[in-house]
Amino acid sequence: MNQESKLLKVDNLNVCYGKLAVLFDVSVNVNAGEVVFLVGRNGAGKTTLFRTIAGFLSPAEGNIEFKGNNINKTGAYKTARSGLKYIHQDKQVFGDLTVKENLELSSYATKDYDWEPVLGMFPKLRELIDRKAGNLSGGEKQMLLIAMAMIGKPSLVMLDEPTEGLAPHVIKDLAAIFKKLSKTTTLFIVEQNLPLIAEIADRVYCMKEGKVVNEIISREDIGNLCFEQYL
Amino acid sequence: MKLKKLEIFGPVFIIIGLLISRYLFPNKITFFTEISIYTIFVMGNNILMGYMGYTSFGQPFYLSCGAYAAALYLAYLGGNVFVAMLFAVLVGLLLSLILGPSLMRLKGSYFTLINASLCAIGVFMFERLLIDITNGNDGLWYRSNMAKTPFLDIRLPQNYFFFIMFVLLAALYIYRKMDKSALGSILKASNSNPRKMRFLGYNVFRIRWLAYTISVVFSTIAGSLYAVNFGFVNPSLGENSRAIEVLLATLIGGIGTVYGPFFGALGFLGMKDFVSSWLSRWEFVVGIMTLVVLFKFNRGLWGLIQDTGSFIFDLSKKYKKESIKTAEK
Repeated sequence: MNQESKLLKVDNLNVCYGKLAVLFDVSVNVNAGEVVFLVGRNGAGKTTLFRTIAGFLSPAEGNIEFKGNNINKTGAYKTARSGLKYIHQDKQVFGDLTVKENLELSSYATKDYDWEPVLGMFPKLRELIDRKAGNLSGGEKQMLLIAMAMIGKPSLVMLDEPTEGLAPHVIKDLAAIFKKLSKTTTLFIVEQNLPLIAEIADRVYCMKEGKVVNEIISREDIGNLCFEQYL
Repeated sequence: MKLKKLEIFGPVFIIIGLLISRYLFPNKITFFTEISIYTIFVMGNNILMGYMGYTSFGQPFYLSCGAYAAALYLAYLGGNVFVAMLFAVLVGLLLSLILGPSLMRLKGSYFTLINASLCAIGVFMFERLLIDITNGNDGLWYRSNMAKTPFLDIRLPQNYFFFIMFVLLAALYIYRKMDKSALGSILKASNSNPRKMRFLGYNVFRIRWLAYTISVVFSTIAGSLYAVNFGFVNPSLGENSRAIEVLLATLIGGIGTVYGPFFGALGFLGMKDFVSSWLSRWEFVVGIMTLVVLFKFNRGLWGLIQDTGSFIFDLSKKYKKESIKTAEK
């Protein structure tokens, strides 16, 4: 893969919480148009890696490049504005605001007021447009979060455990949504759901104890769940 | 017309109410003027407290800075009261430019206490440091310097009341517009989930700074209106004890709402006025009454008015339906 197609490039990243080192020489790449998954047990450092890439944590050492620009010290809001959207695992929306107002907040930040592509992808949100976001189900909240992230046409969307706590039929719907999304943007997803990963992943990074220990690039290996041992 | 649609006429209803009260109780004109100015002061605090979740004990400092800005202009530089008010707005902007970047990085009690210390600094500054130009505790008088204004001579209390009505109407509509606009949603969302706002690409620090600036400017405008109303200022305007009063007024009215500041100012000053005519230590009774209002109606007086309005509206709808059914039978 040549340098130009690398949308996100993380090189030898080391991250510490105070004096406690949690990520050790982590290197990952995400190419434009790919669906890349990051797997690992709890405490492996997946969320820390995502938070560092999104600008919420500063790396102690290493390099993070997005679209060829160093974003080590860019800060969260500037990183988001540059087209890298991060959906946190807590599924928190602005509960006191309606679905419409939540989407508006995203539009004001990105100056993108064309909601048709996202409402076309999530027709259910159209029905729920005047409902308070706090009254949505877990799956609906996840849809709203993805819709909010997709406004502004980001180049890369990072999702942290999007299926956590969701019912199996909702996860099925999400898998279909991710497939659709992958046609318009690049996805980098932390996930523990084996069938979902097997169905849509182009590549899988495996993390263990703060290090990337394996990269599975063959679709056949992914289909055979070769990454299962890291979960 | 639906009840929610009537809300757009809220500022007009408030002004009509005040105008009617002025004629019903002509000897209370100063009281109604004070309520109107205090409403603008509470609006400033409501932006910080209700929209952004910051409790500031420094609002009297900003109020006194606005009052002294207008007073010093009128005492030494010129007689135009509108320029004096503009001067107060500029001082408000300058204060938020200097203090905002450091204050808005503080959280919780740090923000509250540092703001409280600003009040002490302000009183010391106007009482001692600037005694040569402020006359210290004796206060600064400048009414005779105030020039006649075109169309309506606002130096006269009866005319000033109408001018204040105009300012209040404009302030209420600006406030309402802000609440319903993108800015209102952004302020509220930054308070409820700042991290999520960063995910979306918002610079939360700048949003907080903007809210602080609006709050300070509202307070300095209120200060300048006080200064023009009384033709006199002294350092007690910026005392710490006044910080509690504006916080209480904000809570009594209903925090984070458009009309809460008016009902807060009316409720608080009304209680104070009523009780102080009977008792010299009005604070005790007002304190108890405030507790009752806050415990019984935690959405404040505006929340109570909304609930009562909805109840009456639903009841009348039900009655209408029933009367149609009876007529059909």
